[in-house]
Amino acid sequence: MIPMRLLLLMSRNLCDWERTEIEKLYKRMKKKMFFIALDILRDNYHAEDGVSRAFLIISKNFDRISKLPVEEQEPYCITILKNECYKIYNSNKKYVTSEEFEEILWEEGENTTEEKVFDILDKEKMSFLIENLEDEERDLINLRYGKDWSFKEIGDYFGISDATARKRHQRILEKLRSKRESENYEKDK
Amino acid sequence: MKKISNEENLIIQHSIEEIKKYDFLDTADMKFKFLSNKESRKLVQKISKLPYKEKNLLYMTYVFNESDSNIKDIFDIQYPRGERLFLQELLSKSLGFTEWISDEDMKKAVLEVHEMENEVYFYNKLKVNIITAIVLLVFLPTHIILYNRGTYGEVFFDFEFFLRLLKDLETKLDIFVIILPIISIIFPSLFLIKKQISKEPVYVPYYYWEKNFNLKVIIGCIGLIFGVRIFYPIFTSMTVLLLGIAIVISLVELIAKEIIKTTELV
Repeated sequence: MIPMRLLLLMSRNLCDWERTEIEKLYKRMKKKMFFIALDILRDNYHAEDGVSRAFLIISKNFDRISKLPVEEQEPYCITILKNECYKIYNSNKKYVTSEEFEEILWEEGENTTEEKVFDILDKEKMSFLIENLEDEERDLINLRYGKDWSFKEIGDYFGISDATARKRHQRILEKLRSKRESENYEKDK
Repeated sequence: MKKISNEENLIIQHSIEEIKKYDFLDTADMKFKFLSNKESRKLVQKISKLPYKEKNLLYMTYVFNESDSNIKDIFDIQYPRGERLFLQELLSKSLGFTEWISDEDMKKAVLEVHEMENEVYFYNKLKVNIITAIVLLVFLPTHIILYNRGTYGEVFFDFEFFLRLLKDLETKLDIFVIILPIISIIFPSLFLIKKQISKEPVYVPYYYWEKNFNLKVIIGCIGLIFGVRIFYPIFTSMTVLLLGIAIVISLVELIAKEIIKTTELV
């Protein structure tokens, strides 16, 4: 874990009062936060990383946090911690998240103009096909790809099993694929 | 890194665009629905089923009243407003509404879920204490009764070590045996009373739920008993009696924690 002093140095210029207050908060919360992180990540190293990241954000936003009532400061910090742990958890799964994907898209950009036009046409076609899906199907697709929900999370939310969510997802993909192919075929004809 | 097909690329691009669209959505002309109690309960259930990332976003907006720009900074997400509105529409659709759920109802439901989530540790602690109290309440008096009747050999738990050291303190031990479960249940009961009075979430320090805490208590007590026995032998029997109680409570709590298991957050 990043030592508290180093963490405070890394964060923006803090006045003495803020420094002392953050140190106090850290002393009060570090153990609890560590065990919550451990509960999510099941790994000491990642849990420590989660707490460090959370404290970096807390120190950056301390002026806001210090204005909160004392009883709200703790849950606020835990919310930040859980979010950071969730990010670490996702990155450990080695999936590409939507944010990462957008970065990859920006980094690419080496295509020729012709390829770009085809890309746009392809994208528009896909958007049209997705728009024409049923409400529930569209939600499932948006949750899976736009919000990076796992099949378990989708299943939990809709009250179905992971396997059913996976099957529905596959069925929607097949539906999109077949529609896309049939449209391409008609155009070629 | 998981490989993505061209088709999936297009779907992801579309989905990101969708969320972006929500970010610029004008809510002025929208129709809002005010929920009945039954519908509110359903909304609470639905919110509690959302993944943590989504719940955290709602907590920041409705519990801590953070602005979208602040949430963007804190959570490092590009379209906090879009994500929130997308979620709100998803929740409305899941409950079968064509209108959007009113902000007041959303706030009420999110607060309730937030409170429920923060009380997980509190209720776990309560469960552990109740199990400990029941075990001690049933097991230890039975043990003493059997000991007094001379049928001690039938009891599998070897408590003779303590009793041999205590000799004349059986009566005091009897009293402690009754006090033991009461001590074990008194702290969560106080929390419960405090919760009822304050009507606000009660946060139990996490170490209460940590198994290492009990192990440390047991090791510390045993060390202290040996220390007292070596340096202050006169106080050995009293120390054994008092610390023996702490050891028994910690041991039973440790087993109870193992039975219940820590609540998984992911």
